[in-house]
Amino acid sequence: MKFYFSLQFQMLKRNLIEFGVNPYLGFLISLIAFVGFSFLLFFKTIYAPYIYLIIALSLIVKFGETRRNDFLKSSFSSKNYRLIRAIENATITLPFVVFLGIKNQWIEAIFLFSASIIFSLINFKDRLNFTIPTPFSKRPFEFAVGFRRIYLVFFLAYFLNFMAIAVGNFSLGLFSILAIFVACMTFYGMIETEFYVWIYALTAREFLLRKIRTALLYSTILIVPNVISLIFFFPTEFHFVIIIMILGYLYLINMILSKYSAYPEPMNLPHAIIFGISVTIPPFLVFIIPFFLKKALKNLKHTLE
Amino acid sequence: MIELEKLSKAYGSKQVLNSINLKFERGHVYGIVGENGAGKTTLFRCIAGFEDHFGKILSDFVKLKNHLGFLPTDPFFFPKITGEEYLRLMCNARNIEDVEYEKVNIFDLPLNQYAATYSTGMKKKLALTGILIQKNDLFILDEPFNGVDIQSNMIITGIIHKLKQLQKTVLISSHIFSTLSDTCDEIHLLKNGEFVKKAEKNEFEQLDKEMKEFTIGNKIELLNL
Repeated sequence: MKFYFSLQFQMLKRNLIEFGVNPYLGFLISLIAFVGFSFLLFFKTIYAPYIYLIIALSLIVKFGETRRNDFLKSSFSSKNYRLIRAIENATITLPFVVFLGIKNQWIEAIFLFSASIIFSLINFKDRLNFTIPTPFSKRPFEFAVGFRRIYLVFFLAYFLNFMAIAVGNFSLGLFSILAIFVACMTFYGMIETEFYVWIYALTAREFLLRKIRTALLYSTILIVPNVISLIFFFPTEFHFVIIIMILGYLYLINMILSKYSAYPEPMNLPHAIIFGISVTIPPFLVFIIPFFLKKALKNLKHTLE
Repeated sequence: MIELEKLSKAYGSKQVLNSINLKFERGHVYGIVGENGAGKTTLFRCIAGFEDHFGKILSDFVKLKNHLGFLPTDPFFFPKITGEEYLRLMCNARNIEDVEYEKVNIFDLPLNQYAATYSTGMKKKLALTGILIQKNDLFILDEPFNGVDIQSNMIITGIIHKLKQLQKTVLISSHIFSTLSDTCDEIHLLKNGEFVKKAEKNEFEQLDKEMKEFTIGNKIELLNL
């Protein structure tokens, strides 16, 4: 069991090295980012403890994936298997529990810690026979796959929009549109094997244009209910809706281009930094989008042309 | 027609393909055999354009890859993408429209289920259907019979005969010699990155015998069973 955890630690270190960062520096940066994010979240919204719980629980759900657990069960004794699961879940949730404690959110902290132990007894099946219907089947794969993975986020965004209208909070409505765009951006975090690029009888430019066109069309389908209702109920603020839409589209394009600028590898540290700058300082998109485009075209030419 | 001229490939210091020369004609089916690690998959990946290499790959097409259907040994499917969506993706990629997916589903696959949940054989059949509906001119089938049931085996054999009839070029690798002798016009034996033997239809039996003798030899005796 000790070897198992040292192997996990090695894997984590290797991932950081592949990401282009010294492992120990990576741990330090992760810690600083976690603390910074936590303070920002608690400063920005009163719902922070709940968002915090959702993030922590969604992380430990991943450890309950069936195939991974089948492997662990077949490799370790029942006692050790349970112990591994409990230690893993507790380790993941520990930083969240500590921060909730610092913020005097004791009930949430105790709930989260208890949930992490209970979740270690549960395996989550990812092989359901039920196929989630999606309006994005015509042009697979990013939106079809992504929607099925996180469709609840969209329902939450629509609910937030409904609440925004009900309580007259226009900013919350804008936030719901931005949340949909961010969710769509995560669809492009998946790195497909070269085969899925190779199959296209297109040039690199045509390929990227098709990807972008599909993303813009499908993201528009997802934001339409929020956009129309916000413009209808807050007609004098419609220009803000348009600005958020344009920003969302640019972020989405930026995400697609940044993905293929590193392809077939996942984004490394320099890419992530440039991408981070473009997200935090949107005017930089004017320079960063052409930069990513040039790199993406060069990368894709290798596979497509 | 496809012609390989002095095709070589190395991974670091390991030479996987060593100056291979071979011609693949239209309307012919070619079998490639060899031990694990002989270089079959690397050869296929080079022809498909997945791997950088030395030497030339000449063809009648401006862009060979746009006319090539590649069936990998172990096809990858995204989680949460249905069989039908996979076929649609394959068609979209080649700008092919108006395909009746249920009609072309000759292996009776559950197209509305997630492809990643399919069995090994079903995945192979879905991937094969995908490259067939793309209407390619050249097919590279890396272990097409692996994990596939006997009925589907017969259908795949039938498909290969049909492709030959339609003047397509087919390259197959398989560890099951009988499937190759049923379908191929020529079989080439790949060993340590070089083609060491070529057999035509009337020589298949002899090749099979030689391979068995060479491969098995007295190895089993060494186990002292």
